[in-house]
Order: sequence, then structure tokens, then C-alpha cells
Amino acid sequence: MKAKTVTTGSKMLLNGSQAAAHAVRAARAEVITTYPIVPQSLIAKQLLEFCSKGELQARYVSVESAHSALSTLIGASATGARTFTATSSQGLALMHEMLHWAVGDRLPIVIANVNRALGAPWSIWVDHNDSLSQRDTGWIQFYVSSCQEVFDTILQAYRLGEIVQLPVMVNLDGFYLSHTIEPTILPELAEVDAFLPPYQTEWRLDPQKPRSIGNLTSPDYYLEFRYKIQEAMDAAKAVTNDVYQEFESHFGRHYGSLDCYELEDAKTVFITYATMAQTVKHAVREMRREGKKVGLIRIRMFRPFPAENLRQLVRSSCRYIVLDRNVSFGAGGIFGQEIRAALHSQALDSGVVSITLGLGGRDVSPAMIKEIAAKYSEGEVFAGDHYWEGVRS
Amino acid sequence: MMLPQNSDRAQESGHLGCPGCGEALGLRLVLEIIGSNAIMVVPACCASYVDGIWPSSAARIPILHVAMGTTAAVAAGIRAALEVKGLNDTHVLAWAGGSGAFDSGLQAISSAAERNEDILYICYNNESYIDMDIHYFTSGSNRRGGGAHADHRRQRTQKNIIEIMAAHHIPYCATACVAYPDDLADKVKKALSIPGFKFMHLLSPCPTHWEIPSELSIELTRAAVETRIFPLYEVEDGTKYAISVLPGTFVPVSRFLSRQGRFANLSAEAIRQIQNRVESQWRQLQRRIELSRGGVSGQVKAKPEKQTAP
Repeated sequence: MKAKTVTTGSKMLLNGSQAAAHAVRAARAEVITTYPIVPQSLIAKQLLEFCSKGELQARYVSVESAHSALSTLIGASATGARTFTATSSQGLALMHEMLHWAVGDRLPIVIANVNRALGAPWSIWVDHNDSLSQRDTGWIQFYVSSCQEVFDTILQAYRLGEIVQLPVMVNLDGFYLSHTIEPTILPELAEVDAFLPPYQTEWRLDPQKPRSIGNLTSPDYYLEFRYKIQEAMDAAKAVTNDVYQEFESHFGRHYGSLDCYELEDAKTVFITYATMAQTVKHAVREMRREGKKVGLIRIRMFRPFPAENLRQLVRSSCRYIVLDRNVSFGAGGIFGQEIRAALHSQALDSGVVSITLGLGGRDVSPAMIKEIAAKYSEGEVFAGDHYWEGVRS
Repeated sequence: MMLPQNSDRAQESGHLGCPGCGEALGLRLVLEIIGSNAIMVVPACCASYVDGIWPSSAARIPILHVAMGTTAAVAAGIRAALEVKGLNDTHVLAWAGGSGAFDSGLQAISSAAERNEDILYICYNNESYIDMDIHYFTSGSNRRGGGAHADHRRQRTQKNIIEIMAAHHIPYCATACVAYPDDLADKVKKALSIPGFKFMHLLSPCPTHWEIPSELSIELTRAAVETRIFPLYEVEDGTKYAISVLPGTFVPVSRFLSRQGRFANLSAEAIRQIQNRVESQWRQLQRRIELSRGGVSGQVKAKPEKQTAP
């Protein structure tokens, strides 16, 4: 069934940061914390403006560190409020301890992480080692590639997180998305309210029904608490599909955890994520005009990892080139590892090449994608092969 | 004043505190004043397990257990959520041990105090991390002094947390202890009546760390006040100092130190130095009180402005 096309709302020119702030406003977040860090600060600035003008009825708390930004949200979310903060890089790294805590407390906090490389040396430009270092904290993670998707995914994040009781991190590329202006459709707030009802939970700090949250737990129970988190992550895969359908019926825009382009007869398929996928899409379009059978799978959801969806798309006769704007030193590209692990049980991983590139904001151009396609489409691939592209000698 | 009796217990029996535990007693006294409409935040400290192991909890109010340095930040978040929900009558109590307040928690405390968040933050200090005079090592090999740490142990003086908080100009901060429960109750009541950030430093005896018999915990806590090692006072708006309990007679610091196993290795010279410092600190406190009575720094005459040539 074709979804209805919803035309309510208005189209505005927004950068990714503004799109994020508009989504938080539309979601009627109740407690917002901020601590400035480049390139996240535009989100905080826009939200401050909304709160100052009364366009968003939220308590805006300017704290003294990213660690406290998340800690304060943990208190607020545990008291039943819908919460938001934004951060980047060192800020997210500092939050690490409390990222775990938010998951353990099963709090559906939403964070926008504006991806930025980690020091040392200092870099303010994009790569994804900040959020991918948080892979094992239990946060649901999305990687988006347009301003519209920033807006839409934050709404989806609240809906999803509040159903499965897990926090959600929406990742957008520093500068490439946070500071790039695109036409963005902002729906009517009433339509957002219909999609995203107010957050209500029985599991909160309530003097009428006192309970302690997060207290010391013996070996008799701790394992079960952790197992429940895994169950919630597994459930999130199915719930995400429901959320995508609900979203489409309300707003007319279709989403999946994977996004496919020109896969039908492709012999070489790029697998990548975030804004780099937009560049690859452009390059694939050009290569198709030149008669090359190339395609693209963009991974939108990283946790839970959409392994089943990926296995349905992958064919053993095809070469897959994974582009990772990140690295796990001593192991390789992180998406590359995840993809190989997902495909291994079906023996589909033999055609996967993993490439690290573009760290610290190094440009990844369409020409570079074409060169990579030419270089890696042929030849034998060995399990665990990992290459670097663009390294100057 | 009369303390409330246990008709509506704030803390159930069956908590895991040791006999003579100042934390368990202090919390019971505080909760009896606060009542049932409150939410408590507890970082990593004795209270994390004294309250009970999941699924048990001795307190009759909800508790959010949090990581070491985050108490004030989390409490601020609870207050923020209560505000947006219009639940302004609910008290938010941060209940943290010495390390969570003096060490890793200080940054978040400073920030919440600067924003004047409506929280009552009580540091119950059993001095297991931040000793009165020394950094106390809890591992068996370092107990009883001696060894490699003997010199190091005398190098640290406990930071004055009340002065740090007063410098934030918060509406109320105070010291208290479980040996003077009426004074403690009065201060909690006063703190709760004031909106904004309130900080209390509660001396909380710990027979285990102090190496004392359980039955001495109240007596020695009282000795901390009588020696003036731990004066009971309060500071309003960061400037108005007042002693709340003035001991009838001052006793030498040895009365507090000598009966505790943790101080067994202090030399007569070290005790003399502590006595001197306690007296010096007491004089400083007296000066602050005098300044408060005189109208504080506002009364200090400003230098006449220089005449500028027409």
C-alpha cells in the first residue's frame, strides 16, 4: 500500500543543528541540558532561543560538563520527563560512564551526537569514533545523512525509545550536516503530537509509590537485568519497523534501517553510512551512467545492528566495499567488522572489503569513490582484510 | 524540640548499617523531618548498600542510586522534572558520602549551587576517604600507620567544604552531627523552608573506620564538637555566620583523637599541631561571626574616591 502524501506543515531552509532543535521542540521535550562543544553548540543555541521565546515549554539547564548534562537527564528521565541533550566527541567520551547508567536505568533519553573526531591531536571535524566507541553501552544508535532525516529520526527516536525503554543516540556529521543548510519539511505540531504521545511511565521516582532504582544487585539478579536489556534491544528491531510505518502514515516519508540504491544487478556494492553515503550515492549514479554495475547500501541503524535485513540483501556473487569513517585500532573498520560478523553465519562475508578513510574530516570525494570502486571491485579478498585510503606518504 | 517518634517510620529496620553507624542514624533523623514527599539521590558510598540490596530498600521514599560524581547533577535533573510537572512540594535530597561530595562530586555540586537549584544536599562524612587530619587508607596493610604511607598521611588537611559552599553564596549551609540530633533536626527544617541550594556537612561516626567500639560513636562525635574540631554552625547567603551549639567547655583535641584506633600512630607533636590548627580555625570562625554581626564586608569602609581634575 502506498502511503498517503502528507502536505501539512512548512518547508524551511535549516541546517542539521536547527533541524535537530526543531525536532526537540516538536517532540515537546520537557528537560533539556546543554554544555557547549564545537560543532554541537548550534543545537543548544537554537533550543535556548525556543525556550526563551516560550516556543518550547521546557526546563533548560546549562550545566558545567557533558558528564553532568547526561547525569541531569538521568535524574529528569527517572522522574518521568521527556529529555534531550546534544554533544560531540570529547563530550560524548566524558559521558561514557553515564551512557551505561542510562541504559541500566532503562531511561529513554534522546541525545543528538554531532560526530567529531577525538583528540589527541585536536580535531573539530567529523569522524565516527566518538559514537562508535559507545557501541557496547546499550544505546540505540542511528546515523543520518540529511537535515530532513535529522528531524524525522529524532521524532522516531523518542517513539522507539519510550516503547522499548532504552536511550537513543541520533548521530549527525559535524559541519557536513550540522552546519549545512537544506530544505526541511516541518510538520504541524498537532501531527507530531498524534505520532508521539506524551511520555508516561509507571517506572519513575514517585513518592506515592516509592521504589529504589539502580541499587546494589547481587550476582543472583544482575545477569537478569542485563538479559532484559538484550531483550529490549532485540525487541527494538521489530518495534523500529512499526515506528517506521507509523511515521510514514503520519508524515508520508518512508524509512528503513537500511537504505538501498541500485542494487538489482550490481556487481560491486558500497556499504556505508552518514553523509558519506550521499557522496557515494552521487558517485554510483555517475558510474551507472558509465555502465558500471555498482550499488549502495546505506546503514541507518547501527544498534541494534540490522543483521537480518542485511543478510536478505547480500549475494555471494557480489563484491561489497565497506567504507568506514572510523577505525578500531588493531582490528579494522567498525562497520566492516559488524557486517562481516552479520554475514559470516551464511558464509556471505567472503566478498567484503573493509576500508578506513576520511578520518578527522578528510574529504571523501566522488572521484575517490570511483577510484576505490576500480581498485577493489576485482581481485581476491581475504577475511579480515582492512585497507586505508587517502593516507599521504 | 521533640523529635518525631516512629509512628510513621521514615526508615524501616533491616538496613545494613553496622551497630553505631552514623550514616544510618543520620539518615533516619533527616528522613523523619523531610517526611514522605521526597526523592533521594545516593552516589557510590556506604548508603548505596546500607539502604539494602535489591530488591530491598529501607527508606520509605524513592531512591535513585547514581555514579560517584553525579549526585548534585542528578538531583538537579529530578528537580527540573518536578518543576515541569508542577510538583514543587516534593523535596529533593542528595545524600552523599565524603568522597562523592569532597572529591569527584565537587564540580557538579559547584554547578548546582551556582544555579541555586532547589536541592538539599547533605554530605554525611564518616571520614573514611577524607580524614580529619590524614588521608586514611582502608586496606589492611596501611592500617595502624607505619609503613610506606606514614609520612604521606600527615600531609593532608581536610578542605573546608562549608567555606567552599559559602563562597557560592548559596542561601544556606551548615554543619551538623548525629550527637546533637535536635540541632540537626532544626537545621534540616530550616533548610527545607528555604528555596534554593542548601548544603549540610554531617559528621557521621563510623566504628569500623574510626576503629572504636560501637557504643562510643555518639560520645566521640560529641567530642569532635567539644574539641572544636567540628564546630556546629551555619552560614546564610554565604555571609551570615552563626554558631548553633556552643559547648560549655572546650576540651583538648586528644579527647577526640586518642580513643580512635585510626589515630593510634599520631605523635605528641602531631597532636600538638592539630590542637594549634583547630584553635586557629576556631579564631577564623569567630572573626567571620563578628563580621556577620557587624554587617559583613558591606560595612568595611571603602576608600574615598580619588578626585579627578576638572
